[in-house]
Parts: sequence; structure tokens; C-alpha cells
Amino acid sequence: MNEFKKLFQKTRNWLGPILIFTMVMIAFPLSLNIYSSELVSSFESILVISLLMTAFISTEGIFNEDYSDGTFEMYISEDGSMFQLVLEKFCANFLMVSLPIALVGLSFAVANGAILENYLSALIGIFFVNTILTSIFAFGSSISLNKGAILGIISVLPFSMPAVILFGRFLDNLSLDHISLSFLQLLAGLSIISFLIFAWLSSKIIKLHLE
Amino acid sequence: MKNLLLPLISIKEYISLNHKIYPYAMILGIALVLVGWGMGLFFAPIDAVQGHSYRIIYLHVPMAIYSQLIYWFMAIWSFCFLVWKIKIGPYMTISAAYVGCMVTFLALFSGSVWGIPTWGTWWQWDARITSTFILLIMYIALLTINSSFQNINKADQITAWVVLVGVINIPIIKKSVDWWSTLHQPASISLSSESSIDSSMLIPLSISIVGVGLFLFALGLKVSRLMILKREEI
Amino acid sequence: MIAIKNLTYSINKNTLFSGLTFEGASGNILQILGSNGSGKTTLLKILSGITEPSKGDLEIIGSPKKLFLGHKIPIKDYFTNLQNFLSLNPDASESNFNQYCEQVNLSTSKTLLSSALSFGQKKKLLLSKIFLSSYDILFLDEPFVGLDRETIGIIKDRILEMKVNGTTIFLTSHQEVLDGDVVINLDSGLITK
Repeated sequence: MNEFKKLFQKTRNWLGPILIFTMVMIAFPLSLNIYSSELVSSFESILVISLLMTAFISTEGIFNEDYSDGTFEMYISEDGSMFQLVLEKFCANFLMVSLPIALVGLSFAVANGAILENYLSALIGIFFVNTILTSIFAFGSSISLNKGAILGIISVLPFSMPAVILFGRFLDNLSLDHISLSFLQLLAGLSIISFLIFAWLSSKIIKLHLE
Repeated sequence: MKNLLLPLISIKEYISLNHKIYPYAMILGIALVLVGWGMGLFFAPIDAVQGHSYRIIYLHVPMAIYSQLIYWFMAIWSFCFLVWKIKIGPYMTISAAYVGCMVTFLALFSGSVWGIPTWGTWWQWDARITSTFILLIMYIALLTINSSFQNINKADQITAWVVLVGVINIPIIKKSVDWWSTLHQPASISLSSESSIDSSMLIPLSISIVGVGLFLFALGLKVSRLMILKREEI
Repeated sequence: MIAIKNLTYSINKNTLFSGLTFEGASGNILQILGSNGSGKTTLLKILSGITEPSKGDLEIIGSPKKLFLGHKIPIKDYFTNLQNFLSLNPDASESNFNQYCEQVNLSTSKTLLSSALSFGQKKKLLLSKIFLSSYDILFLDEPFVGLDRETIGIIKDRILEMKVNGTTIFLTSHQEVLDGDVVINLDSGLITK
């Protein structure tokens, strides 16, 4: 609960990515002068890029504050579980950033006339993919603690590419109404696995930084 | 058994073994490469479809194979370092990363050169090429991570963890030509089934693969020795 | 309670300290002295479990309740004083905050954002942890830096009170600040009782 309170108080950290996502979704068609007929087909690319950017922005410095002000040190000395703390941070991020972004993304899909036979599947898919991307970039953030964000991006960009490819296939199938329950289950499973594994890995890396 | 494993655990023993093996590995590797490439360039027949341009496989295929194998090598040593604290682990991992980076770049470069006469383009965002490009970024990322921390032990441990996480990408690269319909052709040679290329081309290719492997092994020995000498100040 | 044998710590072939052997029994105050860069904070972090030693054994008997308070102050600027207080002391209440502020002469409002506090005031807020909870082992890294003389006196009294209650206290300093049971001098390598 403490992590939720902390994130809620830092308005810039949760509202910022949502606003940036919204801004990019608006700016793309405006700046590129895309005709409405082309917008439907290019919407998917815009969505992928926006998700990548906001996943990075929302997790940049997710651990920096607690690392630099000694919160992690105090927590570990009290035999606190770093994995639990990182999981709490991830959960706070997903509920306050990933879920709103999924809703905003779906709204833009509707607004841009994307032919989505199943809006609920679209919402679930965007949410799970955003979860995967956010987990990956948070892991990158743990690697680049106090080293600058670029190191984090370089470290995890290769891992984010499979997620982007998967999302692209998801959107293709969605527009053709080929989304099956098993595909959504696959996305759900992958997002849960990446959520847990990257949280665990991030906790390990943070402990190494503290040594 | 202990004597066999000692050079893999003790740095001093490894340096001693490294000194002994390196000249033979390098000479044999270069010799086999010259034989393989010589046979491939001058004696192997012309391909019915691609003409002479196919001959780049004697560089491209070994590089492509080793770009992935080297990553597995790194993963094994990273695992040994993290689990059993084998001191030589980071040296093997990082020296392999340097070699792997060079090999992956050569695989992409030679592939691009081959792509022009074959596909009419030097680059295509298909599954195999993209995933190999991702592998190159991974190698660069690992080297960047390792050089970003002043505390060498911390750098080695973080690098080892990232290597292990990145292993997931290797099967994706290997299977990319099978899972997606790509421009890139499927594997021509396989350990488990009959090869799809003629023996007159396969023999020089096999010799090249072994030769390049020995050459890269010797290169890795050299790089690891230099790393150890620099870090341990022997 | 805590036993250290042949403790050594090195970074990149530079050894900070080596061969340290001592014990911290219940109710002992162990002062770690040394000049800048001698490894006082590092030793404290090793003892509290934050850092792994390069060599040596660290044995802690049982599962004691520990706390490490270092140079850094984990007070969030975007929280109010009360929120920070309750975050540091989850079992405490608003009345505890008022009582504590009175005790250490912390004149601030509970609804004020902690960004308005000075370094010393933030440190006072942080040290509420040792007043409101009891610990078996306490690790304090230069606990009196930034505090006024009166507050230092209050903190020292609290430390002595905890010593009587059986807490093992490790604290670092440039010079002796308390009448401790063991003094570990990292410059000379001497451990005196």
C-alpha cells in the first residue's frame, strides 16, 4: 500500500506517461497528415510506438529515488523482502499507469475507426502487452540505477522486440477477428510470467547495486 | 577428473593451459579456413540458381552458426559463475561477448552482401535478419553493461544475469525461419536430418565451419588471457 | 548475538580492511572509528546484511530484529511529516507523532510537506524509528551529524536506554562519542575493550 501512496503522491510519475501516450496518439495523425482511410491501417504502428515510449517513461527512475535516499538499505537491514517491495512497485505502476493507458489506447482505437470486432479483447490485449513491456523496461531501470537511462534501454531493447512482435500479431488477428481465447490466455500467461520474473531479477540487481 | 577441471576453476592453471593451446588452435584454425575457403571458392561447382554469389556461404554460415553458439557458451559460464562462483566465469563470458559481437556483425554484413544479388535488397525486416540484429544489440548491451560499473564484481554479476535472461532470444532466432514465413531460407544443414546441399559444396562448408570455430576459439583464448592479465595484474 | 571472524572487504583488488574478528554481545555498544574512506560505512553495511564481505564469516545468532540507519535520509519530500512518520513507523499513530515531536523538540506541523524540513529536522524524524520500536541490533552510521547539542543528548540517552534493554548497538564516528564497550579502529586495526 505504501508504494501506491508514494506513486499517487508523485503525480508526474503516473499522469505524465498517460498524458504523453495521449499526446503521441494525437500528434501522429496530425503531424503526418494521414488520411482517415490510411489512419485505420497505420493506427497499429502508432499504438505500438506509443506503448513502447510510455513503458520506458513510466519506469525510468522507478527505483532511483528509493536507492538514492537509503530506503532500500533500511528495508534490507530490517530483513524486508526486496522481491516483495519490487512487486508492490510493479503493481502500483500497472494499476495506475498501464490500465489507464490501455483504456486510452482503446478509446483512440475507436476514435480512429479501427475495425475491432471485439473491444474487450483489444483492451485486455493492450493491457497485457503493456504489462510485459513495463516489466522489461523496469528491469532495464534496475540495471541502470544511477547510471542514466540509456544503459537501461540498450540492455533491454532486445527483450522488448519479441513483445512488440507478439503485439503486432495480436493486432493483426484482432482486426481480422481471429482472436481466440487461447491467444488471450497466452498473453495473460506471458504477462504474469514476465511480471514475476522481471520483478525477481530486478530485486536481485538492486541488491547487487547496494553492495 | 580434478586435474581436468582445474584449468576451468583456477586462473593460474587456465593461463598456463591457454599458453599451450593457443598456438595450435590458431594455426589449425587458419589452415582449415584456408582449405575450406580455397575448396569453396575455387573447386566447388557453381550454383544452378545463384551462380557464384552463393560462395559467400563459406563465410556467412559459420558466422551465423557461431553467433548463436557463442551466446550459449556465455550462458553456461554465466550460470557457473553465479551458482558456483567460478572465478574464471566472467573472463570467459566477456571475452566471448567481444568475439560474439564481431561474429554477429560479420554474419549480418555477409548476409547483406549476399542479399543484393539474391533478393535484390541488402536488408529486409524479416524474422531471421531482425532477430540476428537483436542478437547484435544484445552483445553490445552486455559489453556496455560490463564496462559501466567501477566495481568489477558487481559488473560481472549484473552482466551474468542479463546473459541468462537473454538466452530466451536464441531459440527464437534459431526457429525464426521455421515459425514465420520469411525471405531467409530455412537451414541448409542440420545435425538431425539430411542436408539439402550437395556434398561438393557441403564438404568445404563443413571444413570452413570447423576452421572458423577453431579460429574463433583461439581468438577467445587470446582475449580472455589479455583480460585476465589486465585485471589480475599477473 | 553477532560474531565476526576474519572479515575482509576489497573492491577491485583494493582492500579496505582485513582480518577483523570481534563479537557483539547483547547490550554492547561497539564503536567503529576511522578516517574518511577507511570503510566504516562498508563495515556497518556488511554487519547489517546489506553488503556481502569478500572473505570471512559473519554469524548472527537467531533472527534478531535489526535496523540500519545510514548517511542517507529516507524521508520523502512529497509526503507530509505525518505521512513520513507513519511510513517509518507503521504501528504508530498521530498521537505518537505529537509526543515524539515534543520529545525531540521537532517544531513542525504534521500537515506540512517534508520538503520544508531542514537536514537536521529530517534526521530527527528518521530517528523516530529508534524511539518508537525496539531492536535487537542497531546499526547507526554517524547518527549525530546534523543534530543540535540538545538533540544529541536525547539520542545518546535513548541509545543507553536501549543498551540497558539488551540491544547491541554498532555506531560509526570519526571519534569516540559514547562510552562504548568495544572500539574498533579501522585506521590502526586495533580492537579495544
